[in-house]
Amino acid sequence: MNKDLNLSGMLDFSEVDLTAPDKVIEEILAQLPEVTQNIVSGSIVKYDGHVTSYTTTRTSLAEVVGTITMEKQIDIQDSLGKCGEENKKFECFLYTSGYTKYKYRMFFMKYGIANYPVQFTLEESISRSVQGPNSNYIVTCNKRSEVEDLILKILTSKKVLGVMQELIRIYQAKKSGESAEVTDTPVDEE
Amino acid sequence: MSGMKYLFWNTHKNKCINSILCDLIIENYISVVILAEYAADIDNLIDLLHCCGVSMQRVPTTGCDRIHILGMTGIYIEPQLQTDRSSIQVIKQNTILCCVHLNSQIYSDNIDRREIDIEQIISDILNLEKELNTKNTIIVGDFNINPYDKSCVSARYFHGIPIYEEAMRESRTIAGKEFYMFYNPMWNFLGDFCEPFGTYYRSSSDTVNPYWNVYDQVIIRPILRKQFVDSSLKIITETATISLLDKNRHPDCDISDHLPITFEIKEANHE
Repeated sequence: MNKDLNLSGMLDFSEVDLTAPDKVIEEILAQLPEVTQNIVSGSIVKYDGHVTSYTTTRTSLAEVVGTITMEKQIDIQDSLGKCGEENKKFECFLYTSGYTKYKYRMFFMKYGIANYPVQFTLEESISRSVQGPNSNYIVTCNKRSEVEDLILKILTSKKVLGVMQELIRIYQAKKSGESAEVTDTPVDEE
Repeated sequence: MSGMKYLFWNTHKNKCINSILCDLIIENYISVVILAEYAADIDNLIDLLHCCGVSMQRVPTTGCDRIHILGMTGIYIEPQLQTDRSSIQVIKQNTILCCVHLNSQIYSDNIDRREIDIEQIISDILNLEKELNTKNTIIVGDFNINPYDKSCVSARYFHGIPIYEEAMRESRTIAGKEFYMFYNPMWNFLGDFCEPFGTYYRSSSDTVNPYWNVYDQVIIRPILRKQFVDSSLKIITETATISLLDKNRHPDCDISDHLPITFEIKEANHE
């Protein structure tokens, strides 16, 4: 063979942390109870709702009278990006020991077979709180450190801190109400 | 008590609205109050009600800043999923109350986002209905769309059907997928046979401009239809002491640009 294949400098063989983003987020969320005196916790779970491309038909009064309609192709991939063929979707929320069924959804997350890039669909208010007004609520992270930075920004954002603070106040009010009830309960003399 | 009376009102960030709210709640025997764009002092409202012999308490909507809820003391209301645009509660362990404030019709960019929000809300409701094994579901709020708009009628979104006889099919299967229906009684407020002609008035230069809109809506699963009191569904235009309309008989924007709605759901075993 006269020609040598020289890929020197063309490929990156440095070690990359490809830990699944949900595991990365789980590790950060695991610290929440400790820093909130076990009042607030966080969870990331699989989500099977619609995050797919679809066709929509723009109608209004026209639909009722069966006249003007305009079809418009909405390709969610345009906004959520291409993540690979096998997409895993998750939702991340806060919950509290004060109310067993309460949860506050912070974002959806989606990634493909390679784990990265990972796309986040943030709640609008969190997006504004983290990135400022008129920000895009779709955020892409290409590596673990970016995911960690984003999650820390979300959890320390004004919006999420406000939610946690209110949950703490509600928990405290509930606890103090319960102890008052116990104190007020008359002793059964029978 | 024969049933639960609900009041929904977008209060237009009016900081001086508590006395009107207090009158509305008392005059209409309201058990559950759902407010959007509420910017007044809710503790002051609770105090005002208390002075009138009505005991109400806040229902947590933490995280959903757009919705505030008050419930009559003694009614067990348990908060569930909260998002920017919706607050889901379970009343007396068997009725799902989903309160929404969807984004505005004014900016066209909002349409796609609103549809994604509706899909998520419907998906969340379906999950909760499955978990609680109930279809006793009420969605109420400022939809920012009319009953005839596609997102209100389409099977992909609210699937709100105006005719109960059709809605009692409960679901439709399209392309192999089952889509559950809601019954939407708000269609009865369209047109000019009865005043008011809607809950929100807007004159715009858009090609589609119906002037009056029924943005504030309640829709229910068909199974609740027999408990729904038709005569209780009202768009309120006045209290005993004040009109909510201006001299043109449009919503008085000094009070709120929306009119409140009330409705009653009877207890399941009530004849």
